[in-house]
Amino acid sequence: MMEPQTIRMDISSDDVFLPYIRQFVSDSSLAMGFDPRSASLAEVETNSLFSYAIDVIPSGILRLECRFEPSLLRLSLFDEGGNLCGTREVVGL
Amino acid sequence: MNDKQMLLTVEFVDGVPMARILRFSGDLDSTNAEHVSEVVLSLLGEGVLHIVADFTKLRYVNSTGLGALLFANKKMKEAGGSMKIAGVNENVFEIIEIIGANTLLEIHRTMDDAIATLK
Amino acid sequence: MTLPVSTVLLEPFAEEPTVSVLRLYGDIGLEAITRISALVDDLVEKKRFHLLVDLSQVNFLSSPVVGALMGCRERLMRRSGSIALLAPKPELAEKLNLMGVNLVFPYYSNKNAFLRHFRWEYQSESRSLTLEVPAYAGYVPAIRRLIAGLLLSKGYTPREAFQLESIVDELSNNAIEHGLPIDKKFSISFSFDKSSIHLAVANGCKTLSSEAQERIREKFRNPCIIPGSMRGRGIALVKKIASDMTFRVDAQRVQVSITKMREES
Repeated sequence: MMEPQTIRMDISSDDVFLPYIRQFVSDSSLAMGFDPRSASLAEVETNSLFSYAIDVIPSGILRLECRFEPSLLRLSLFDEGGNLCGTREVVGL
Repeated sequence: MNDKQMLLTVEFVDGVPMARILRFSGDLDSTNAEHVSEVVLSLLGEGVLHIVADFTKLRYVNSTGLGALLFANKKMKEAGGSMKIAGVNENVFEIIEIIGANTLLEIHRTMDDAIATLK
Repeated sequence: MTLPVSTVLLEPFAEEPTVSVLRLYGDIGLEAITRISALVDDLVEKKRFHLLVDLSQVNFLSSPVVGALMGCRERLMRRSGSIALLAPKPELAEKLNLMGVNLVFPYYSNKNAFLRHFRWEYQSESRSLTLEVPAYAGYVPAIRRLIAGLLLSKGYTPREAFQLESIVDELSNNAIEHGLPIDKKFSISFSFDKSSIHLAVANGCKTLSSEAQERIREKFRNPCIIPGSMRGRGIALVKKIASDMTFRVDAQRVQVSITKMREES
């Protein structure tokens, strides 16, 4: 098992980006050895985090942190000011 | 998902026992290029002399992937055989051209064209 | 305030001064056509060429009114303007789609979605992505697909997106393989608008001697493709695809930046 790793993403708030952000989290999860079902859950949780944020923060930058720990993905979303918008966890198998 | 397993399948060519079809799908890049080289060396070890690479479902290739193909091409020729590529999409072909590999690789428009050169 | 059954109002758009909002209320039939056309004529005279038609309070829109809106569209677009529909109710949207209206007018479910599109399209607003990623080759496919997807979502062609995907892939793998990223990370900065793309890939490294720095600079200055060789093609490929490539090599950091101009808008 690889040591914990974090991906940090700052991205413009734009609803048309959402499918690709979700796919990125899913692809990254697979690259970290998650099974397809867990990667799919990661995609769903990313969607849930972002959908709300994009509606209330229609412009500017959103920051997503994906922290991969042994068999766990922690997703954290922040606004441009560094305020936490939401977190999700996905257990990887 | 295991990219290596998803990427490549090997098939026989009717009537040409020393040839194999390698069907590629998805993306050929730095994460799986080495696997391609391993498969080719393994086939050479089995006495295969001709490879027809089906790129019809290959979406993307990078320079490392192309390097693996050039390696495979070189090894087949050294063994007295050949490697043919077919079904290359426009975007992939443009990368092959930019790198200059189109002058080194035998590229056919369709799999039928490529296989016909074996018979 | 209770409005008459069929009401047509024209207002400025508070969030975007260059856009006017045509608010329609109730059942909009033949009787509204003259007023709508007059309002749009007035806009054109005042050189205001962008119109958002708010359908959120509309129950019914007759075909002649749709025809009138088509005429307005023509007048505005002839002057490089635009017209879009805002938040039609589901039943109305379904009827409009049957008429093929969705093939001609863009719809937006809310004003933020409209603003995002409008500013991108007419004010050269850009979009950006910054990634800080562990230096692990397994992430590169995800990164390049993400960047290609962002470009496609904003109207870049599959070929343009593919070319950027190639650039991202080569520079990222170069940073991971050759960059000796000291903190086991590398970074990508990506920004684009309708006409151009900017990308920079950077990594920290163990202190490079002056000679080592110069060797790296030379590799970027004169990348060479050796026919038949399996190595050294990535940077050459990037240079050929990009409109411009620059690099900066310091004792502890390497950064490669590219610009790619769109070939046609």
